[in-house]
Amino acid sequence: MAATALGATDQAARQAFGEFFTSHHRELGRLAYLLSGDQDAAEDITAEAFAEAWRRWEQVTRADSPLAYVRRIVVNLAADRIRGLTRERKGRRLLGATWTDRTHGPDVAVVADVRAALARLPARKRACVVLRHYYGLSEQETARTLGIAVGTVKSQTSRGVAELAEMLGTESEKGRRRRGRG
Amino acid sequence: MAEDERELWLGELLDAAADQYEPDAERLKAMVTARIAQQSDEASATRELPSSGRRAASRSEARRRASRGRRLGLIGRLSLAGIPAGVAVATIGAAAALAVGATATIAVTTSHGHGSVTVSAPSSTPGHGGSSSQAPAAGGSPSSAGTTTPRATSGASGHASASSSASGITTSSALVSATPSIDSISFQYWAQLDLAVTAKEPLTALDVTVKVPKCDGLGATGSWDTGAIGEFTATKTTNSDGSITYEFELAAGQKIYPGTMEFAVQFNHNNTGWNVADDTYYVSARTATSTSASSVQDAY
Repeated sequence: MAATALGATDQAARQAFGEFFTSHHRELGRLAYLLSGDQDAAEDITAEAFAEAWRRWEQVTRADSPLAYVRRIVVNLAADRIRGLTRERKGRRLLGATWTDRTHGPDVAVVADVRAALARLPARKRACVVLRHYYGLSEQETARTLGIAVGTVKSQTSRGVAELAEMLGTESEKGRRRRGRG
Repeated sequence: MAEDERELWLGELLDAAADQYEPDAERLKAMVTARIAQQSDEASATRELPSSGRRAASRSEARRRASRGRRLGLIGRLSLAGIPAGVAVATIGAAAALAVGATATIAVTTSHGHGSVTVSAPSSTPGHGGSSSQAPAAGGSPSSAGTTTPRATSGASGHASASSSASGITTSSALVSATPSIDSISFQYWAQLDLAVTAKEPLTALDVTVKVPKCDGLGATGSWDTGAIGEFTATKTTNSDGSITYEFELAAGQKIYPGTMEFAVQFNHNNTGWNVADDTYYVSARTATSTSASSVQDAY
């Protein structure tokens, strides 16, 4: 009954949602990929996040940054998924075992290493590293996205980076070995 | 400064790692559309509960759905995304109020076997409770995503209405329970049937079969399970009558601990010929001390 009265606004919302999808699915998909380490999982998380965004489309569009809002959904879904996987596979297979696919292009070994190394970081640390160093978000933005304190972002990020460098450093003779704080 | 360099270097590596994944826009769109349709289904599933019992029931509903596999229940998803369950429940309530013309008898109880994952679910997209100017109308799927609408057509039957399907109906025995569903990644010419199997006790034998009767264009494409490598032996057989039997058998000497596993079978089919209601599963289990097998079976 109300459907006809709502038609116009509804149409506009759908269109806006469609445009939002077109503009951001790539970036959000890749975020999910870096966080989950797996293309199927990334696809799943991304689809879920967009569905969630539509469910709350009104809030999304009212947010200061709709993209940041949905990014946060992606991060939460990814974190939960990883927790679930870890539980499921505990004592059976290491999470890192999924990080073996598709290797092509230059520097393949290092790239594969970085993914494997990322996968070994706990979810929150990984999210800090990815948001700060892949997305270039500020510490404040990262804190808001993850819903944690700025100080926590600082410490988790620097520890995460140090651990990654540690894991990667021994194999790659980059000469950038100096580890900062622990 | 060494640290700056290191972080630059890390940024490049992360870029390179991310570049290895190019999301497939069309596929993603289809997945989003299917999920949005499912949201409507889930919202209607809580409709008939009295408000006092709604929260608890919704939670167990969420848990049950979560155990089905990759998809989480409505509550689960909302609370994951940072919305307290209380708010989520209120949202569902609002959605229920918005769902026009749907009677209270639909969900849970009926239509076993008339499975159809259809995008034209009857209720509104929740989350816009009360604000009539913003609420998307029935259908809930953004038109932009409509072009690649996935549809597990239960062709022969033409039960296009269904906000209910065999999906999510759990059948239980002493040792195991099983919940079938049509995975939302299914589309017009291809389907994945999921079966969540819960072991209630440690099992020493577990045998899961899914049978898909012959239909136009039927062809097995794959199967998977969430067991560890080597835990299950998976086979698929094309029978003389053209049907396909998928079987997952717990390997000798393996043991299953209480918990939920997921089994999935995949196949091609023609647009109109396949009817999910014809597909069946059979699960049989034993413990170390069983004198006879405990089994469950049903249609999808």
